[in-house]
Amino acid sequence: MDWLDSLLFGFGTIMGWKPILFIIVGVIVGIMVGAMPGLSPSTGVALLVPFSYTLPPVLAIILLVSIYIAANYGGSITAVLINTPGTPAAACTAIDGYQLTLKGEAGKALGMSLIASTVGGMFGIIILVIFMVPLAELALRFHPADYFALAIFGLTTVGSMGGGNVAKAMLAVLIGLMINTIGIDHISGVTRFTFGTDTLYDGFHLIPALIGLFALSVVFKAIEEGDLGKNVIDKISGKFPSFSEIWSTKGTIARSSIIGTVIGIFPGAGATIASFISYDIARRSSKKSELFGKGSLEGVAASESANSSSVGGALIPLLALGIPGSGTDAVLIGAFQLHDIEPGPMLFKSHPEIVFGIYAALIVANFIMLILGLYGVRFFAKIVAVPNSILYTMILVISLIGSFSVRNSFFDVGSCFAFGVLGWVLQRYKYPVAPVVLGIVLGNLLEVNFRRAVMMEGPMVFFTQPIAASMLTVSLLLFLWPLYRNYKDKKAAQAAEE
Amino acid sequence: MSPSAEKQTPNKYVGNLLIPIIILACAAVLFSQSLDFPPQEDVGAEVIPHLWIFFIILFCVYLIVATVRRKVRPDPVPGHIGHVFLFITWLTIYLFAAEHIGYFISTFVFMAVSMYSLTYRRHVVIFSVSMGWTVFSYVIFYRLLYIQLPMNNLLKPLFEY
Repeated sequence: MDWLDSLLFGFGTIMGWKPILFIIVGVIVGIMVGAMPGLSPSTGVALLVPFSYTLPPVLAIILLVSIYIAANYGGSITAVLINTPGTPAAACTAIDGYQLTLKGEAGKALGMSLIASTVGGMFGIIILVIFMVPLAELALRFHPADYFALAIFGLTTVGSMGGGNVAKAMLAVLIGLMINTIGIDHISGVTRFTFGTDTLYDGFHLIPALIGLFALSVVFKAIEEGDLGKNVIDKISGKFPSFSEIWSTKGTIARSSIIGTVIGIFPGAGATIASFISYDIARRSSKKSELFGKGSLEGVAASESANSSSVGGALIPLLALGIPGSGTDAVLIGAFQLHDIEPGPMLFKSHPEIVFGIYAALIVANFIMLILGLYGVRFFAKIVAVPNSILYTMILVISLIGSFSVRNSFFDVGSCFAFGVLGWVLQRYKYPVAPVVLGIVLGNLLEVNFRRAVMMEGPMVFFTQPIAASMLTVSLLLFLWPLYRNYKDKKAAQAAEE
Repeated sequence: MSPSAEKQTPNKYVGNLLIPIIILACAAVLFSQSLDFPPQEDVGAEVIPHLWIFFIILFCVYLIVATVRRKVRPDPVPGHIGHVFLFITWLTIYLFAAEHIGYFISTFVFMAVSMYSLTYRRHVVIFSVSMGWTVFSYVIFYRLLYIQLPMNNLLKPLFEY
């Protein structure tokens, strides 16, 4: 089945009022979540994953991916209007978007961010459609050692999540990996680290952990910072950009979409890094570079097209290899597991309706996002004005019901709260929480394949299998690169001081 | 800040120091537990935990040394940490109440008190949101999605029909 057939199959899957309704709901929820400062796409998806349990898998997954793609756009609304990025990836959009608002041209900035998000999102989806199946077919020939190396590759890139501190990011990932070892060992049947309690036999469930780390930690952080007021938004001023203004940014949008998709493919690097790199390249290559930082439409276009295209890119390793490309993808793995579906190379053979349904749903979601963005931006801007004290209370009760509904267990609710406290403490001291989730998600893949590979061919297998050896080498280089860069930066700073 | 002044304020790095120390202590407990795993011929259940613990020790020691040598950023300026702990206690009470008194009553009270304690003062809105959510969660989660939310025995006959 070539990519065009698979796309048509996907459209066949989602044709019907129910899938379309779920995509619309997903886009609306996604834009609202993205627009709320402090709530990231991963928070929104994590909060809704448990409620998708009773839905058929196709509907559940298309609802969640619709939230994912729309939340990336939603972050730009508050970035432009109140200089407060709804998502970290929208931080770059705020630089020029808010300047345009100050000039009375908020409409132009919002229009440009919408168009750039839609085009970038579409580009990322096209790349996903073309490359997903060939990559999955290649992965089917992987040896367990290759899988182990692939998972290690996924984890080493988390260095970029540490805000400059690789050791903290690596320690965060190790916390996740260690949490994953709790419970019955699936290979030998030995119970590990249960401390004599039956409730820990199956380990910690992924969903309460996700909700705690991504959603509750946000609430605790806001309470500590006293961030309980509401976002005041003035009337949206100015018209949408003209066709010639949009056309003048075509090169920037195309280049940033490519950058965003490529960066999205690499596990760990995500929408935020993509938008910052694209913005920087756009500024350097622009004929009007002096406008950057003062209200450049090109700046808004670069940032938004890159962060939206990274969604499609990040879904490639998730669907083809079972390796999450970003924190939100790690949450999506939780959704797949909730429905007893294992993402990876077998997915497009065992559940083609889901893979191809995702393709079609993403395309439809992009168009719905464009329509809702054009006509509903004023409504979304008003929603953002809900007081944080109400918003955070709602998050708490949704977290309780969400974590309870997974297994009807209060142990899960308690563990969700505990993970919330853990996430808050870690974030307080600049340890990123997304690597903890990646560790929990990838821990099983790592362990099972490591032990299988060693049992089959001994410990030297990681050096004799070409794919595994080369991937482990690349992982080592990727791990050492930020350390080397830090060292060089420090040397340069010392030299400058002298 | 001069180095001498920095030496007089060691508290600025306590958090940075405590986190790797606590993680090290947890790793030590887990390591001692793993020694009791039954021995196996092939790659046993303890191999991977030992591998992770090795790396945990490595990174924790690195972070402790970096903190002692003041090579990391100081601890963040504390905000309303007392409020967070109060809220965590309140959440624990809510969790206990939801299990024993029932989800619906405890959620209504929890929401109303939480919004008020988080400085929101419009009583009508507080009541409406709390009541609205309680009714919404009954209709959607309990009735439609069949989530077996804990129910107070006294209220059960009222909600069941």
